[in-house]
Amino acid sequence: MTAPNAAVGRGLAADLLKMADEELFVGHVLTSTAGWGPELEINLAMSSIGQDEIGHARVLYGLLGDADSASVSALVYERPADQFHAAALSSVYSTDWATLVVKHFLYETADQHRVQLLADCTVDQVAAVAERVRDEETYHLDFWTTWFHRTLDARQGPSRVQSALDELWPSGGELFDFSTSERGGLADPATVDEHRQRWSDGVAAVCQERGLVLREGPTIPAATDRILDEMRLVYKTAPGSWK
Amino acid sequence: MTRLTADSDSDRSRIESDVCALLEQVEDPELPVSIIDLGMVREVQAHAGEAGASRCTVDVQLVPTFLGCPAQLFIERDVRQALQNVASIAEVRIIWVPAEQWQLGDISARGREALRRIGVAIPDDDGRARCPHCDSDAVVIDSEFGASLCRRLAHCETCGENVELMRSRPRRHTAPAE
Repeated sequence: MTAPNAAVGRGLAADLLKMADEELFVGHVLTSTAGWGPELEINLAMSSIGQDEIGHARVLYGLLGDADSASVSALVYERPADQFHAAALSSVYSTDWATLVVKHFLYETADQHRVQLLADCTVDQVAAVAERVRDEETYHLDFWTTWFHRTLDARQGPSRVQSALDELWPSGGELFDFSTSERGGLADPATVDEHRQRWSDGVAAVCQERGLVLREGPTIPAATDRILDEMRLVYKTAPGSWK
Repeated sequence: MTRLTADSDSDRSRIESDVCALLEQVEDPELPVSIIDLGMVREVQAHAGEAGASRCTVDVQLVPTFLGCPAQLFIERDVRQALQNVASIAEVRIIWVPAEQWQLGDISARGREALRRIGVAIPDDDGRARCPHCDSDAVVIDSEFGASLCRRLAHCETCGENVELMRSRPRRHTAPAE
């Protein structure tokens, strides 16, 4: 098993693991559902973005200890399901286009702030990869913002996007549920809350502009088991063969 | 540009040059271009072996084109294979450096020519490219995302052929929305 990275304290490690798990789930679901977009180029984009996200997960896992393939793979394929703490939004599975667009619009706009937290991290190794991750995420934000607006321009767009927002918005804040300062996490609680608020205000501004309403509601459950079962099926079929 | 360490003695320096020459035989799994010409090899550094040992350890630092590039494992395998018969090397360590940026300017002139021959163009800083088939500048992007993370789809309005454009980091940042 990998030896923990001495430069990364327990709280920060928990936060990096959460972010890595979220990137992994977003990437996995995208690569699984690429094919359900309305046109070929969208499906190409979904599978490319999914690949990027899995790559980001890999780099984040690598910050926790040994970065070689075997160590990172163990975190993904052998860790018990109850040790994954990804926000439920990241594991949303849907072939409904409006749901996909809203999921990713919320996720990518939040990720802009989350990657900023990485960039501002006092541990050099963490801040060093943030720039690279942010550059690649720029393409994702462009894509999903564009399709959020284009979907709203379609005749059924506003009602379907509103339904998806009603379902997903209440769970969005979980993307900012990082460690408290007592455990020395990614950032102090005030900074995290400031980013959460700025993200929320940004989404609210876009929604107001497009005539959408952000409503309170129940949070959704995470689909961790489904994702892990899918992801690990081949690995479990022949354990020990994938080194 | 691949850096060779400045403080090595002549033996280690020679090994490093030999390693670079061998890495010129290691091609990207999908493109007929060496990882040296793609600008993926950041540094080759030979370290003296243990006291009295005649063989050294070589560190090869590689930069991924995109963090999610699936070719990384294949490139690792191919680098090890290329260096396995060098008598003076006891151990090869491959170190991926995800914090370093890879960009289109890192591709050598030889790499650009090899790409052009298979219909892949490299856009300039303003995003313009010449058609690798007919040299026209009427290249139109069809999709930001293409057959792999480092390529986008385009076509030439003059000759009608498909064109792939190499892709790397965007030139601008989007700050978090206020």
